[in-house]
Amino acid sequence: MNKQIMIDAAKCTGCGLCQVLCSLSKSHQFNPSLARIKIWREETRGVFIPLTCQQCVNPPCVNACLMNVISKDPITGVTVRKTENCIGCRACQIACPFEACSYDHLLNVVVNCDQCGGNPACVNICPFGALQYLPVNEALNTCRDAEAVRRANL
Amino acid sequence: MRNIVIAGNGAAGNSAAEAIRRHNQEVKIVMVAKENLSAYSACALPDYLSGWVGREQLFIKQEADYARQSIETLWGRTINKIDTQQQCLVTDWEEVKYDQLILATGSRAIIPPVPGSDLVGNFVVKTLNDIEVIIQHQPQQVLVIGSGNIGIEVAEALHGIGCQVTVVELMDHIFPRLFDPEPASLIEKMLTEHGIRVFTGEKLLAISGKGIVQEAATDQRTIRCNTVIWAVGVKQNIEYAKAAGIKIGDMGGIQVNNRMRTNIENIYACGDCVESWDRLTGSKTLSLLWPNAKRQGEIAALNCLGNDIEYDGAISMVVEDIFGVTAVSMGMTSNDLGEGDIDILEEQGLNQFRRVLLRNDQIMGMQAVGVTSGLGAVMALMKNRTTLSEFRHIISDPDLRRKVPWYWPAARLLDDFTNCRQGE
Amino acid sequence: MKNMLMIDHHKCVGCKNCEMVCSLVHEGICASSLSRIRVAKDERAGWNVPISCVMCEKPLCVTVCPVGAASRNPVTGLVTFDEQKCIGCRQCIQVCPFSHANFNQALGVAFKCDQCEGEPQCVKYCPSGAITFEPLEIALHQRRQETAQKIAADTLI
Repeated sequence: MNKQIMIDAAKCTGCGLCQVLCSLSKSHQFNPSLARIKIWREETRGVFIPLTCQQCVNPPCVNACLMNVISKDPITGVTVRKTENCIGCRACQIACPFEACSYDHLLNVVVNCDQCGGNPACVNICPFGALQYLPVNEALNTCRDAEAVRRANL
Repeated sequence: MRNIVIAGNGAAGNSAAEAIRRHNQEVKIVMVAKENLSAYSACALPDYLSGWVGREQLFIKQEADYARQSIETLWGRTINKIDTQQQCLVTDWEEVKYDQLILATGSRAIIPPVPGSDLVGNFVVKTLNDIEVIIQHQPQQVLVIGSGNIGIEVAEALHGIGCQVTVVELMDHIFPRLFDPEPASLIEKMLTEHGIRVFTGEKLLAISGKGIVQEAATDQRTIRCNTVIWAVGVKQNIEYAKAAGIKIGDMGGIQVNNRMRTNIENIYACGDCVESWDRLTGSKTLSLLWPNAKRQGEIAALNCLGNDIEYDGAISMVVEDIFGVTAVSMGMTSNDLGEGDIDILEEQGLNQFRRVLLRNDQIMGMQAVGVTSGLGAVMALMKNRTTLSEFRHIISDPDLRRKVPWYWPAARLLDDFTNCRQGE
Repeated sequence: MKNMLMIDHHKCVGCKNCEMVCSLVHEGICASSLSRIRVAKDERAGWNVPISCVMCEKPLCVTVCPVGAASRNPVTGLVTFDEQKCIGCRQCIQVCPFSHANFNQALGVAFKCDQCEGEPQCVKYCPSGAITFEPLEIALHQRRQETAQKIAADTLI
């Protein structure tokens, strides 16, 4: 697993373009309820939190699945589903702490983010850089350098 | 070459086999099972009964998958005995030598000795074959005894294919082990509205009929039916293990340590047939849930391969679909927690119910009807033993709360509770 | 909390010996990417900053971990990750304010400094004395002395 959709909730304005684009590219219609990324909206507090699959290496959803539908792609490390076998029981939704399993109410199956095969539509459209698609190590190194600069300049 | 034998082809057995193959390509794996079928999901059987899923869709593994993972399969075998001296599993067909043995023989549904329970038309729901004989029997008026998850799922499935369904429960509310009386009565209302008759607090006395089930008598009424489905519980398949000197716990399951080892060297056990413990309270439990069986299988397999991995206990998590409304139970119920210092946070709406059970400020259980969002996060908080005050502290801190995104869905659930509590 | 890993980045020469010994002790190979302690450097600006776990009293990694793999021992104050429980969701990495929590790509688990069970090897092999492992009071006392000397030198012209 190398690349990950990194979320910076502080930059999210809740515009919802990511959801629209996600539902368009996955379900061919503009319908945020079908998106595999959710924005958790706390309007009164002005907080918008994008929530999507964190592509855990050993995910709780795999263990919870009653039909052994979910598995890890050995090459890309993405959590993938054989949705044709999904019975829509939602056990994975309850097992996932990240609210990352979305119920596709057209097909009656549960789906999750597959990073659009390496070119995530949500990241491409995000106007404020709240979503970024980065190699984990690279992102970590950038953060570490920023911290080092902060300390060096103290 | 090392030879690992797995007895049982259910969730635990297959999870064990797959975990072994993931980490080791060399060892020989032999799977011995009673049913002459490749692995299927027992949880989807009611869905198969209702026609929601097809027969092929039930199978989570094909015969070819076993060959591809080079797993030798011995199907249709009954285990007669385990020779712990010679390290050999004796079936009715052959003797299978093992270096390590993983017992995952599961459980079987029981039919209590009620008069008439031997008549044609009495069924259980545990295996694919059970479902097929029910379909062949052509049920019309069905009496379901027991209202656990199996009972209710089957009742709903049979109702869906046009049967007249009655559920009889001995306890005072349905789902006695999964839900508290209040959410259970909400679910009961939904079932009744859809035309399933539910009688709680009734004891079945006898079933009568001429060769075939025609009528059932409870302590309050007689019910006409041509089919009786027993969903009153299961018994662990452990007789052969007991005979081999493997220690059986007080609750009737194989006793294992936290590495899923039995008292006999090189014998591990996992799944429905073992007695595990609850992750939250540490008390002994017979967990019969698919995710727990899978995790136990994995732990048994990894320890079998020489790793040292600890099992941290079973946790209850059940999701039910009640005519399109999701009902979720996780952790303990008030009944499990017993009397004492329990705080209950709850909110009830139209066809909605949420209840969180707290002990010492720690989430011990949650039941929700008609709500799914946020439950995963609450589950994580429960597993983490995060206290509610700690949680509220984090969520009220503007700097902290943006950094823990997954707390938010839980916050909405728990915040609502705070509000409704203040309103009281 | 008995001892604390104190890092004086002004003394660091950027040799990365600490990274080598750390990964060797924990993972069996000398590989910077598997080292718990990491030295960030900017040669042009002329700084080297070793970054390791500061063992927060209220660690964010523990708060954010959804499976309880990260935990803080209330007696020793040590914050550790349990590799067996880790599901590899990388939340701890995203949240650590010091970018210390790191990820093992091969095993799919997060890892962090465990202070080598009380004998940090990075301290032992640091040639310039940039990393020290001492009780908080002593470290604090020393810092106070250094500051005092500086003030004294500034005022007593």
